Amino acid sequence: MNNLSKPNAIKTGSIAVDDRNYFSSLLEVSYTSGIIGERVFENIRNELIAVLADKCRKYTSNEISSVRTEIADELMKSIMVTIGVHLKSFEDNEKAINELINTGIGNCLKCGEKRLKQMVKSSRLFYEQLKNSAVNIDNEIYNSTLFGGLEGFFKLYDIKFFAHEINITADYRTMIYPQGYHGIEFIRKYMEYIYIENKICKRFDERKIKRLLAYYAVDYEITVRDMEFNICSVVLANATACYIAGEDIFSLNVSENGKKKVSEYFSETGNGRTAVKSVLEIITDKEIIKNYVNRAESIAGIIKFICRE
Amino acid sequence: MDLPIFDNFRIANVEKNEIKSILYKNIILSEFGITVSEHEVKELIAIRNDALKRNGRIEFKHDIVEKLIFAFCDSRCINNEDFVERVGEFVDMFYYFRNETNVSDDEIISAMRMTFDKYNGSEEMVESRTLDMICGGNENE
Repeated sequence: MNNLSKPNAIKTGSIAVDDRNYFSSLLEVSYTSGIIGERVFENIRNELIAVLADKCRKYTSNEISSVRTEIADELMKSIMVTIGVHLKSFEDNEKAINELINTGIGNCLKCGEKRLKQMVKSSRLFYEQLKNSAVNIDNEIYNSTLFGGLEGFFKLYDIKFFAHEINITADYRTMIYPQGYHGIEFIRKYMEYIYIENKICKRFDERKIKRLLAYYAVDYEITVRDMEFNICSVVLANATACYIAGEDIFSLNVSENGKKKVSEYFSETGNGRTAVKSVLEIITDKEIIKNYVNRAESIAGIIKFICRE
Repeated sequence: MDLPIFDNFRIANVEKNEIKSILYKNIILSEFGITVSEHEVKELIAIRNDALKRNGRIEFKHDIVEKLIFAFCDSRCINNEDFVERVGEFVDMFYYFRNETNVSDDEIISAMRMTFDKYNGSEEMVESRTLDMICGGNENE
């Protein structure tokens, strides 16, 4: 496994660790790069097995001496995610490894569980903020994810045994999807992304968004309600098209003449990244929003679709 | 996420303690005319390990072999000659039952013994009727 090539790699000093599977990646990289030796690795492994045995006992209320391997596997994933959450709180990987060696797996797990509880608590509060930021659009996937799915997560989330699970389908595709993250870490990122996208949409008139989405859905011969799409991308694509055409970006309605200009623009430059950046400069001064959109997949395809001849 | 945590998962020390614990209790078993040798205990543990693997289970608290030995040692339908062989069959059956029900280990073992007694020491009946016994159904058939 080449950790250096991973998109979410944290690089500190000489080691690079996958942020999504922090504990297992930290352990693996530390072992393969010789930061920890065979004996330490073996100790950690034995401690992990002891912690897993204890988890299994608790899971079966100490009445069943064995568990299905799939359950043991899930419990182990939960342990790893929980320990990872604690280790991530250290400022760099070297300090995290030291914590692991000096504090031990059992204590790291306890600290991780404590931290997860705090994260759930603060995420619950953030969820209320997120719901208040929702865009008033009659789209099934968007609304069922925001008001049903996420609510369900907080009801079902099990820190003790299945901290890695998200329990919901998280169907609404954000511009960046927190692929590979687990449990509350996934949900937190997912909520942050939806929140950022809502903030972007809120910069535009709701009626104009509704109008443009209706036209967009018609092009796909479907209703806005049933359409599976990312609302923010379509809004941003329209604003960018207006910008390229030299029209009012807040109209979200590029003229026929403007569409020609956009097509010419794309045949000359090939991508709309710079134009998107310019739109972001107009609609926000928040770096977090700009960075988010800049990290997301290009919306050039949507712009071209809107402005097709 | 994949760590080779279960690769070469050696439980040698745990098994050593298990063997020691069972052999130590030969003194109790002898009250019922039963004795088990180290070799026989190892055989039972091998059957247990195989049954765990076959039934897709992992065990951390190795006490089932010992529990089964003590559950059947006082049965009048069993004698020293075939004791280990029959317990071996029960170990194998136990993990099959384990996958089929959520009741505690002790309840399964107790149901096995009750079925064994009810059908005069028939292993076949233990195999086919224990789950019914656990569910409380078909007991009088």
